[in-house]
Parts: sequence; structure tokens; C-alpha cells
Amino acid sequence: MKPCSNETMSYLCPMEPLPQKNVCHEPTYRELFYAHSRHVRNFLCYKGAAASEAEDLMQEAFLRLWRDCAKVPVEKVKSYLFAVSGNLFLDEKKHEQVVLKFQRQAPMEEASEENPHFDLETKELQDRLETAIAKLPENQRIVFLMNRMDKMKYAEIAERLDLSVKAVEKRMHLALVELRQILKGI
Amino acid sequence: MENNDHDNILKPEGSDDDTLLARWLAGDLSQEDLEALRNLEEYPDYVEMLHALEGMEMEEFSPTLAWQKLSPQLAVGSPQSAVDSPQSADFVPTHRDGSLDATQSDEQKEEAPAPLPVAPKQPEAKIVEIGAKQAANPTLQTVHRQPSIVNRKYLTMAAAILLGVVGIWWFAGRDQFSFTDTDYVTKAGEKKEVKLPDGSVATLNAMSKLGFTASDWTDGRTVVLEGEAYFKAKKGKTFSVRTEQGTVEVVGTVFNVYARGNELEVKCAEGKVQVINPEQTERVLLKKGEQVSILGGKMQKRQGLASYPNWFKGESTFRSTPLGRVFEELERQYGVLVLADSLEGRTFSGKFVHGSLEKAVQMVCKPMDLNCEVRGDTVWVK
Repeated sequence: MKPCSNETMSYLCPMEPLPQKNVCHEPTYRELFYAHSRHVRNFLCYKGAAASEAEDLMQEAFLRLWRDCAKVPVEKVKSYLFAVSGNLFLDEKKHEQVVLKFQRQAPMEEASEENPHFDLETKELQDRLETAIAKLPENQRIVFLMNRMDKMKYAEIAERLDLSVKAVEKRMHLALVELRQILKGI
Repeated sequence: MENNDHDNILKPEGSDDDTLLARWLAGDLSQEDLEALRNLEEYPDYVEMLHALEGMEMEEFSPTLAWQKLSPQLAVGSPQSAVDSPQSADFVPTHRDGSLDATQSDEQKEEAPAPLPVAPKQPEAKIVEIGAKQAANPTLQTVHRQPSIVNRKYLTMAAAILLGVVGIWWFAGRDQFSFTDTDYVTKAGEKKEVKLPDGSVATLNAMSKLGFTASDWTDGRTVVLEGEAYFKAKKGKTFSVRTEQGTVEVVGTVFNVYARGNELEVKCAEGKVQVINPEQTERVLLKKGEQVSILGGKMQKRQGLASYPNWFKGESTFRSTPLGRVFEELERQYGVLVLADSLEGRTFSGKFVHGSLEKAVQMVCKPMDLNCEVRGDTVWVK
């Protein structure tokens, strides 16, 4: 994994910690929205929500944060958002099946010189991975994807999910072991 | 089952290491652990798996668009605020309850939300659409339950005001710069480095224009561009570059935007860049080393940069670029006029320098087997 330094300025790197501010302060609230909306929305997808549902629930969670703004200290916002959106998802109608679709490196409309052929083998493996990830136990899947897709560090995941770093690492390790097993069976 | 054996191997040398793979991914393994892991039979499987995963990503998401959807809903709670004080950010919401455990909060009773003014932003059709929808259907939100005529009246007023603002904007003409208070323009052959309020840097190529609203900068890092610029955006909130040909959104990264004529070309040099077409119907996410062009409304993504942007180092580089576009760049870099019979269908790969017109012309014309002549301010191409 790439380290998050100032030089890389990666899109995937976490935001700098916000100064201690009041959530009811509109610019602060807005900043929080910009910082966390994507991750909350993705988290809901990992739980099994379809993309549009995930976005609606994310919006609802932020509406509740606004309503509760006086009661939620800034440093608690992250765990608040993940807990609330997770509960909102549970309250929705039963989700029998996890719908988790990823976007792929699309086959090039115009094959570049470096990569003239779209790698069929990779595509096939990606199809199987998508299925396998959906079959992972939920708590492993969430941790795994927050790390791989959102590029969060274990400590960052732990903070959001109210877990210890060690627990996150265990789930991550298990997720990889399981994934490989499931892939073999597909 | 043969798999069982492998499971045991996974826990190297008796240590019941249940976080090994996690620490491997985080780069936290000691040299010995790493060696042991690499010798495992399943190691290549993991590598392959993670590699395949690299090419997969979540459906794209734009915080800017999501915020535009959310902010009017917040304003619905107390429409007065939307009417009275679109600028006021420092209001004090009135909450009566005591403290609340974050994890249980969604079970609490409904309560009137504090008002949030619609974010002061460049008015856009999008916002109005949503605002109007809210006005027509104020019960849309579950948060607030006080349906009243007053409410509806205020909402209609708010929508009307928004419509008015957009109307004014519309009549002010299509100039995207009418809202900026700080503009930079470069002439032919000129380059300019612009420091943005947050320390991000934009380098303007010749004959380009860049503007932003300094007074509004903290609310959203938005610049408007006509022409070409190379951006080094600092990490932080979404940084957007608006052009008539589409919008580019990043969080913090290095990228080049070329927006001229009916073409938008974005090259991503670091991190990730999101490009949105003007109709906001299509988006594409670029990773390091990728580029996209929108030509006449059609998006084309390309893996592998056709050429790394280095015009700011005193050279213009091209790869399979239509010759016409190459000469246009020459015109901009030297402030000359290029007269050519027909360049149709021909493309150029190579570069020209910015220091000497004579040299630059030869660098293009020689490999293309063209007969070129410089006469004063005009370059004749045969």
C-alpha cells in the first residue's frame, strides 16, 4: 500500500484531522459531509445496499447528524455516522442477498499501445471475486473492502466501526483466507 | 480435503498468527515473516487476488452533487432561514435534549432540525430543480413534521427567489467568469503560475483564463478554466475545475486540464480525478497515468497517458495528436499564425520547444515531411 505522504497527495489518503469545531456550524457540517459521505455510502454498499439505496441512507444519516448536531461532538461524528447508517440499513426491508457490483477498468474503447488487449483472465477472476466477496461474512467483508476500496488504515477502520485495531486485523486476515477458499470453490 | 493442510501452513511455524495477512498488506511484516509468507504455496493466489481487486472499484460518487441534493433538505426545516439569510452560517440551533449516545441516536424522538441555509454557491439549474421539488412536496422529508401553510408559502418563496437568481445568472450571459472575483489571463507565449488561496498551484498555459471566487473559497475549492492548466491540488475538500466542456473533481492530486473548442482533455498524473460531462450524465474516474477526452460530447477513456504533460517545462509534447491541434498550440506558444493547405487526418507524435520558433517549426515539419517557412508572424505550411 502506498503511504499517505504530502508528496503523494493521494485521493485515497485520509483527510487531515479537523479542528475542534461544532457540528452545528454550517461550514464544519459541510466539511464533514465532504469528508465522510463517500465512505458512509460505500460502507452501506458493503453491508449489501444497492448503490441508490446506499446514497439515500447516507443522506438520511447526515440529516440525523444535523438534527443531533448539538449532541454529537466532532470527534464522535465518524462512529456516529457509521452506527446510524448501519442501523438505518437494518431497519429497511429484509435484505436476503448482498448486491455488490464493482466497476471495472473498462475494456478500452481504443486500445492503448501499452495494453492492446484487455486481459480476459483478469476479467474472469474479477467476476469470481465479485461473487466471492458477496459470500464473505458481513463483518469480514466490511473491513476488507474499507481497506481495499477506501484505502483506510486499520486504525481508521477501527475508529469508525468502534472496534480494536487487533479485531480489525483479525477480520482482515480471515477475509483473505476465506476469499481464497471461496474462490477455489467457484 | 487437501485445503486443510494449507490452512495449517498459513500459520507459520506453530505461531497461531491470525493477523499475518493483514499485517502483510499493511507492510508491517518483519523480514523473516515476509520470507515465510512468500514461501507459502498459497502466496501467489493472494497476490493474484489482490491484483485483480486493484482493477475493481466502487461506483463513482460525487460529494458535490450529493451535497447539492442534501442542502435544500436541510433548509426545508426552517424555510425562513433560506429566505432571510442565505449567507449566515453562524446560527445557533435550539436543541433541548441532553446528551445522547452516538450509537443509539437513531431511536430518538423526532425533533425539528436546525435550519441550514442553502449553501451559497454559483446557482445551478440542479439546485433549483431540487428546491422546486421540495416546494411542491414539503412532506418529502421525514425529519420535519409540521405541515403548514406558512411552511409551504416560505418554500414557494424560496424557490421563487432561487429561480430569480438563476434567471439573472442566465441573462448575465453564458460567461462562466461572471461569478469569479479573481481572474488570471495569459497571452500568447505566456505562462503563469497561480497560487490559489489554499496553497494549491495552477500553472496556466498560453492563451488561457483561470478564475475563482476568493471570498467564497473556503466553501468549496472551485476554479473556472478556459484553455489549459496544470494543477497541483492540495489535499482537502473537493477541488473542482469547471469548464464549458465538463467538470473535473479531485480531492488532492496532480492533473492537467485542456479545455478548448469542443474538446476537454484531462490527464491524471497523481492520485485520482473524476471527470463529469456538462450534462452531468456521464462520469469517469481516472487513476494515475490515465487520461480522458470529451470530444463533441463523447467520452473516451484511455489507460496510459499518451504523453505526460510537460508544456510547463518549455516543451509541448504530442502523441498521435491531430496535426491541426499541434499547429494551434504552436500559434498559442509563439503568437503566430499558421497557414496550411490541408492537414486533415494527419497526426503528429513528437514535441516542439518553446524557446525558438524556427526550431519548433522544424521539429514538427521535418518528421512530418512538410515544407514549412517562417515569414514574420506567419508560418506557411505546404
